[in-house]
Amino acid sequence: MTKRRYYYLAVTLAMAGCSEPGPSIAVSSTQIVAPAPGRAASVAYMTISNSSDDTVSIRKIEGPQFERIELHETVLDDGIARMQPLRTSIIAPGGEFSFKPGGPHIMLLEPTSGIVPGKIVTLHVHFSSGEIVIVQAPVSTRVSIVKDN
Amino acid sequence: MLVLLLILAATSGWILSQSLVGNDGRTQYAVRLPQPISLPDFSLVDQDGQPFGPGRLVGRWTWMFFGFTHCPDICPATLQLLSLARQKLLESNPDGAIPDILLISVDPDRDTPELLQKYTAHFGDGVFGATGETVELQKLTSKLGIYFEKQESASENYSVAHSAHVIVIDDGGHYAAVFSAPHTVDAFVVDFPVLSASK
Repeated sequence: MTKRRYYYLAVTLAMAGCSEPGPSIAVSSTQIVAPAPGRAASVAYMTISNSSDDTVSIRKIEGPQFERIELHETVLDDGIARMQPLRTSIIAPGGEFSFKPGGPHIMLLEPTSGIVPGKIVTLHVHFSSGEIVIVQAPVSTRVSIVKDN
Repeated sequence: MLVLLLILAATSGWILSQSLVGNDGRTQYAVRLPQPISLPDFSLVDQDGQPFGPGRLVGRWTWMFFGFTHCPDICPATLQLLSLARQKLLESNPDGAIPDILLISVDPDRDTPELLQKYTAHFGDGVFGATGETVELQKLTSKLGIYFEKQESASENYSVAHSAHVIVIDDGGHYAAVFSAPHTVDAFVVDFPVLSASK
């Protein structure tokens, strides 16, 4: 976990340029879940921490292995689950935003090649501040939901 | 003296057993129906293409979840959670009641038995699937208070809004209790032994 976070920070700093005092956004707990049998679309979860003094939001997420990436959220309304485009991804100074099962999630659509367990997926997370965090994580078969329980 | 010791031992054992299943049969998370409800007659098809009606639910406890295989988030997360809870129950009390997990697909246009077979197998042992014509699904869902509705979309990647409850069917094939979303593994691990022990 620590190693991974350092990696994210290093990449962020490189993307932001050396004139920046340091990276202000970190990504952790990234999970890329392999598509279910018979499905091409997969889903990603992650937690984003904003240690800057400014509010930021996610502008978009791209990845070279996917034709399309969309940000969605599952909304529970009176016990009924509906999927809809993510309404907001605002992260207050010092705050966090989590993509997690049953809530906001990242839809990885139209993969250019097979998304199989163990394969490394790269995602570029673009923020309103102009920062871009490059995330790399292996594909797993199942989402780690035990931690959230 | 021996008789007194035997009575004490028996009493202690009873107290311990009651504490393990909830001393008064009360659940912490699930809502138990005052009286189990018989299921209506419905006719679906299981993941092997075989007829699936209410008779197939007699003889084993079942956790019934309504969803669809194109659902990217809450359906696989719920099925995985149920599978984990089932595994924990198996490990903690292999001789106790262990439920089947049944995904009823509310997307019969896309979810063929073949696809359901592959999909449910992905979540491990004890996970099965069934679907059927909308009118047959509605016979079941209306009795259980389950809602589902196709969300119109210009593309083929439409979604289906659906209730996220997990319905507990007892081994008599009756609707006995319901777990409301959001779900946790612990809720099922804690409450299911209470439900099955105090039927």
